[in-house]
Amino acid sequence: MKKARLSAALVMLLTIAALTAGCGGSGGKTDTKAGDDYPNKPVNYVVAFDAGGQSDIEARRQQPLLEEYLGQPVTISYKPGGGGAVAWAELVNQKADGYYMAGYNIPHIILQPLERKDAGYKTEQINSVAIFQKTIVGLAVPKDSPYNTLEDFIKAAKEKPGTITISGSGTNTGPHLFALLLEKEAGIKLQYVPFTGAAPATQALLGGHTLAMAGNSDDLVKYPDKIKVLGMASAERFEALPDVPTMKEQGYDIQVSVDRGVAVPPGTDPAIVAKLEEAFLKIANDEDIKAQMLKDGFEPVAMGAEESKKYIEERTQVYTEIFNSLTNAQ
Amino acid sequence: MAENIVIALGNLINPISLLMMTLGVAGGIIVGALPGLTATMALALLVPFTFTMDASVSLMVLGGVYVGSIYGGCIAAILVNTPGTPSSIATTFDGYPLTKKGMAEHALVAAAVSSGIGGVIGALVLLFLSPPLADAALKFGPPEYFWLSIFGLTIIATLSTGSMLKGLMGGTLGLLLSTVGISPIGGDMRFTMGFYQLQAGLQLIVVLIGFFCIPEVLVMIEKKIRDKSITSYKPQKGVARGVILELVKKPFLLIRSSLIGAFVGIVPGAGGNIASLMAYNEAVRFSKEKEKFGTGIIDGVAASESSNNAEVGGSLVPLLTLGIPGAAPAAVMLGALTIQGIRPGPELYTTYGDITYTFLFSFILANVIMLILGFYGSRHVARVINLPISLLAPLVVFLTVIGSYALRNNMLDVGMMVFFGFIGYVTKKAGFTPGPIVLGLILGPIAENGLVQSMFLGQALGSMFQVFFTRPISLVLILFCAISIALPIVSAIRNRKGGTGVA
Amino acid sequence: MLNSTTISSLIFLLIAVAAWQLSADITESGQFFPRVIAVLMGGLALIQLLISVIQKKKETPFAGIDAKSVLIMVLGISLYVGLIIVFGFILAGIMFLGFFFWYLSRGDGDKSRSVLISFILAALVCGGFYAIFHYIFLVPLPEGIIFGG
Repeated sequence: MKKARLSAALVMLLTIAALTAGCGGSGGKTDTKAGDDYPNKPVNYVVAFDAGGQSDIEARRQQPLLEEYLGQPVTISYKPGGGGAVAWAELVNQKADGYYMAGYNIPHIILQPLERKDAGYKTEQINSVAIFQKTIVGLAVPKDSPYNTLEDFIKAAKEKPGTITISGSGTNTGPHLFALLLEKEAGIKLQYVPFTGAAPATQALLGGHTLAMAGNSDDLVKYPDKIKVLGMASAERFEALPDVPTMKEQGYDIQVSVDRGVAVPPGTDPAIVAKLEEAFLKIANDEDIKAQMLKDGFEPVAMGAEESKKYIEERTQVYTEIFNSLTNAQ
Repeated sequence: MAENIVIALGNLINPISLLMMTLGVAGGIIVGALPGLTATMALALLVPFTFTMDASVSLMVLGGVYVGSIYGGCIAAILVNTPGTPSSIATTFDGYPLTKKGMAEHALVAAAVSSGIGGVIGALVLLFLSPPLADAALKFGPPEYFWLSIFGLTIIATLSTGSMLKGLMGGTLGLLLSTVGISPIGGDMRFTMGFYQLQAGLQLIVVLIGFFCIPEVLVMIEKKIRDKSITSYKPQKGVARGVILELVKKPFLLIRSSLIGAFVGIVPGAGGNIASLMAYNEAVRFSKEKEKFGTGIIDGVAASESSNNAEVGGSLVPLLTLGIPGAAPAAVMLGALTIQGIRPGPELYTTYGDITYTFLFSFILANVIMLILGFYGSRHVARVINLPISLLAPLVVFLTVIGSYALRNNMLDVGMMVFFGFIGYVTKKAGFTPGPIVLGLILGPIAENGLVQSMFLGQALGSMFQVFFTRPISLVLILFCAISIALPIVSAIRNRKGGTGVA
Repeated sequence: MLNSTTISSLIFLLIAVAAWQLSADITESGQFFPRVIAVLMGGLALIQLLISVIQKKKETPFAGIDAKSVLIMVLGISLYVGLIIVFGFILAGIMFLGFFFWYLSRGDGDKSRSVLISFILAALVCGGFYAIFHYIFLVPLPEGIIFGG
């Protein structure tokens, strides 16, 4: 009696399995070609960091417009971890059918494969569609700090090497790179203290636990009455902080920025890439979006697929050189 | 400011907004109740829906979701020993035993009432004490975080029902597990064994579900008779009234737990998980019936739930005043605020004053709504326990799989959840409770970051001693640690001398 | 005396040693914390081991349980995870739930469930949850390799 029941169950299982395998629809991992009907189903937009963070906010800003331009729902999902590495490692292994894209950050995608034995991906695998935002790294001190200019700061650092603490988000990230470059160019020794994110680093500065901070421009604009920004690592003065001189102006040619873009898996059909690129560039050039970004402390950028790829290559060279020289010097 | 308050109150009375907020609370409760779906996730899922709404309404809804989901976590915690959100870890310690004793409704009502009261206290703290408290939060630097985590680790003593040694070992296991992933300084990959997904470390929720839920499912299966449920729950009259009367007799329990929750919430990086564990610990410390904790008493549930809802209000303090979220769900709210074009900071109370005050008042209201929904829903929700094990057990596994997958759309997380589930079963049989392990996992990163960052600061100052032992808040925390370690030892010695010989 | 406490202490000791070894090629700053923990763990495990060997307590953690069912559940859950990867969420769910709804109610006399009812229940539950998560919450659920997921 029991045996009969058991075999009935097994037969049922096998039948279901067989049926579904049989009528299992498309199956297989063929790369879709972009017909005129791409996209014809919802697109997945992956954010490589936690919900509520800056990358998330950008994605959400773009989402309604993307849905309008692409004509399909765009679902935002989160794959935080490893400073973005988990999401990017998954990105390069996904099907290149145009229905999966992820936001990415420079210098992260360059520095992570350099410094980690196995980040899960290589910089060259990031198939960039567009870059739409830039945040410049700058040096900040509390409002009541004795340092009023970059020169004051550097002078103090020279007098007492290793005593000026500077907070920043992460190790081998944009802010860290800024601090290292500042040390090298100015010939000083600082004490960099890494924090798990921009918010904790800012908290440390505001609470007086560190004497300075290497911060992203979007954090620097938030506290006009609590901090002083001594210099920005950009080629020209930053629009949202017009009174702050650049590092270059003050004699130290340091340019560090964190750029945000979006990428698809390698091997995606160029026609699909072009369609996505068109949508993202439209958004990046939208006056309203640009105004919002500036207000939040970002620099709007509009680089398409080709341009962004060249930019990544150029930055890779620059950062690799810096990274190697700094790690050898340490 | 006065006119802002008037506008705010006007906004509040709008029936559509109230309805939306109630839906938000209800939705939050449901999502929080599903193991694996956290408050953060609930908020992230619902933020897009709020874009089309007007700013103050969207904030009301999100506030409702936040409040509801933190409460909702207690439902799974009480009924199937699985914290629905990490904030409800401590609720399992007495909640599930109560269910096993057939008192599920007692636990649920206690949780609802405590959550409501705690939430309101947290909301009041947010409303009246934000600016000074935000400044206090800023004074927490790396050394303070380090000592806070050490204090947190002393809670292991309370959580080790049975063998203290095993509890400590469990704690070290948790601490070790927390180091998997990328190290905070130097960025090395630790213990990732070639799995790139482990760069992020072990996900707390995954380990939580594994350690708390799967072992209990297997325990359910152990019994040979399975058409019965874990225990039969018959609705009794007067349960709710009885619970309330009991809680009213212990006002200090609720107030103390709520205040702990609110203050822990204010410290960025310390969330509901730590708040509820600390409140539970203090409830045990101040109780005259210490042995009863862990066997199923309402005090345990009340302490945990009131503090985790108070923490919600606390986490919004640094958010609204400084733009620094006090906990992960608050970070999502920050995102929602930013998209609406609202910048946290002093502007919030002036330029956007009407929106802000609407939100603050609605927040108090949301907690009341949550209390009502939870209170009346408890009776019905508790009936889930009457499902026969042959249905309940597979269903619970099914839900945990969904929950662990929903986190990062990653089957590895599901696999890890199952893996830790089996390990949890075996360790449970060997006498290790999951509490200390999970505590180590939560506090590990805070301890390590605090320690290493403080060491850098000490290097710059030239004196480690100065950095660790001369800062005012640190000293207070060190004192707490000392008391926390000394008290149990003192009372153990006293008991031995007294001759009653409590083990 | 080989009771469960002794065995578990030994395992903890092994974990501590393994952690020490595996952290060998990490830089000093990253190594510090895990190694401190490993030492603590090892020390505690040793103490526990000694105590348990000296005390020689008899422990029967697995007494009086329906071991066969537990093992089948363990196997079932493990298989379920694999099934999801291959067949996708809905099918694997139906298979898992259907089987266990039936299997766990065997031998309960007239309360036991037929295979058919079990699978129908399973299909309803799976379908329902899939609908809620896919259409309302917009959370993607695994599609399964055979469907090209």
